[in-house]
Amino acid sequence: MIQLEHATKKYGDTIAVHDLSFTVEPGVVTGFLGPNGSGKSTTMRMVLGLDRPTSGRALVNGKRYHDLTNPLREVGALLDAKALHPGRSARNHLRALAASNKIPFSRVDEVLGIVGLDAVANKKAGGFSLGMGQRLGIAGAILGDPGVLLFDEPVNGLDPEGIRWVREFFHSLAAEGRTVFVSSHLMSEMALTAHQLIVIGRGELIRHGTVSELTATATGSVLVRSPQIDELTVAIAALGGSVASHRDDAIEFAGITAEQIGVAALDRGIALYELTPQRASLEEAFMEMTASSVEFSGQPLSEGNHA
Amino acid sequence: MSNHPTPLSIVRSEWIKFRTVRSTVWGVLTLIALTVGFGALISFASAGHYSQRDIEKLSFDPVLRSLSGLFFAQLVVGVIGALAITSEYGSGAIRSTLAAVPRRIELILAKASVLKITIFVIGEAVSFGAFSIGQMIFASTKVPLADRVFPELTHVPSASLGTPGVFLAVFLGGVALTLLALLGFFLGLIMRSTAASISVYVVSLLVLPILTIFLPSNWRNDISKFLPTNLFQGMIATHHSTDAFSPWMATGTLTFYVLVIGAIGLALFSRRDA
Ligand SMILES: Nc1ncnc2c1ncn2[C@@H]1O[C@H](COP(=O)(O)OP(=O)(O)O)[C@@H](O)[C@H]1O
Ligand SMILES: [Mg+2]
Repeated sequence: MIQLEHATKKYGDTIAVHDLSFTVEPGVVTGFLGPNGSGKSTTMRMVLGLDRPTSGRALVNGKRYHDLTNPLREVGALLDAKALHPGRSARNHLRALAASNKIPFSRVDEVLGIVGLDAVANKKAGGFSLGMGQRLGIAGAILGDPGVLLFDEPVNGLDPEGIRWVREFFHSLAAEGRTVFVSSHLMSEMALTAHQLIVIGRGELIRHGTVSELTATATGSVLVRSPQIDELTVAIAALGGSVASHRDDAIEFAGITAEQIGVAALDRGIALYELTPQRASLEEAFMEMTASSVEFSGQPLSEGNHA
Repeated sequence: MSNHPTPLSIVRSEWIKFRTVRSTVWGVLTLIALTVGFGALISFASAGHYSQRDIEKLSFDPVLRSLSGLFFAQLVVGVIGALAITSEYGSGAIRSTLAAVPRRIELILAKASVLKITIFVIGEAVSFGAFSIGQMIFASTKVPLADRVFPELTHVPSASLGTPGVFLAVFLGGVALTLLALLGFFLGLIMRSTAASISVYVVSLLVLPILTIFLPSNWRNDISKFLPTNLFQGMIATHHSTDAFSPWMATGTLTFYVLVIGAIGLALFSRRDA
């Protein structure tokens, strides 16, 4: 279990994480979603005791990371796959980690086998591809057979085959009753990987819930075609709906369900040619949730703006 | 046996890291080559020139000559020491290290122990090795009859470890390398960058002595005996000038530097974000 209690982290004037509180439960994969720069890595570093919260605290299994007797046996983490000495072999890298937490060397060969790196175990990690590096990072995370696992953007650089492998691996770790906390800035990836979602933007909690809850509550619109558009619009406005977009005889209403529109039309004798709920995809839900918190949003280049 | 991590398991882990990177292996080979190789070369050259000038004969110090390779080794051990920590910062490996060992003071003490023990063992080996090779060269070089100051002086004078002060000087050669390696290590801990910490180390060893030239002469000696290189020279000297510290004073002063820089490094390291 991972708990954040009003954690805030400032770097000088930058507030990377602000008053963040949540609990990550065991047994499911929890996705940690947010645009780039929203504070995901910072949060993970606070959990691992690498960065000290400016205020509040982060706990693993009810303890501060620093107080864990054998951290690697309780918590495994992959923060940055390239964060290892490039000249050291994969096996020696893992052996050094194992020795510090009194994990037998036989376990090193075991995890190299699990991630499929046994053939290159004695090769320098610096020569590994991004995907091999991620696998080595994952090997390091599971080395101590920990009950809590954190992965920061683990699918970056993996090919589709590797992504599927990682996804299934996370599911199996969670199925074994472990706490699996995975960050990503890609909603589409999280939709397939996670059961639970914690969404942050600009260092603040935006939403916390299951994937289906978050899609359901996203405000979808309803597309309507009718010869009596104006009459219908007045009726819908009276019910609290609003016009999302309008072209010719088609109109999209927001803040109202298709059922409400259908009943309202029947009551007033308005003919409907089409009544289609526009289902928000998870991606759209995410965009909507984080729209106000994206740090760097792309600006279209206007003509004559050749910077 | 408990599963509680002990300082020993951290030392084991750090030892694996230390010996499994090429920079350490190369550093140690360079250290051996410079100390023993240069020591032999300079001993050989000075033995050959011994007979030529009387002034040479009077000031001839067989201990210092044989240990002259240690002056190059000073630079190498500082670099080995700095790299032991800065390479982890350079690659980002410090984060996986700290995730495995969050008790930061214990981690640094373990790293320092591995460095200290390795450099001490190798430092003593090269110091005594260079001394022995140098003395062998001197003792086997004949002085021509015409050049002999005393008739019984048939060979270039050599020193023996039994002569008072000699064993200490050679032993302190290895100790000095160990202290300088720790100095480089703690500078690296403070600075976190390989380039920055090696620069500061080299400046304090090579550039500061040059700068003292610009000091008023009555200050120069008072200040220059505190410089690391002069402390190092004081540690391996068998003939003592009043301008320099005695071997024990020099050892104490250099140790004091290491402790101060080490305390600053540890204080910063235990507070800083990784
Ligand atoms: N060590 C640091 N020093 C200064 N600013 C930082 C540091 N780490 C992160 N930040 C800033 O904090 C914010 C959150 O960054 P980060 O946690 O890396 O976000 P994410 O992982 O979600 O992309 C960003 O604005 C980033 O620039
Ligand atoms: Mg990040």
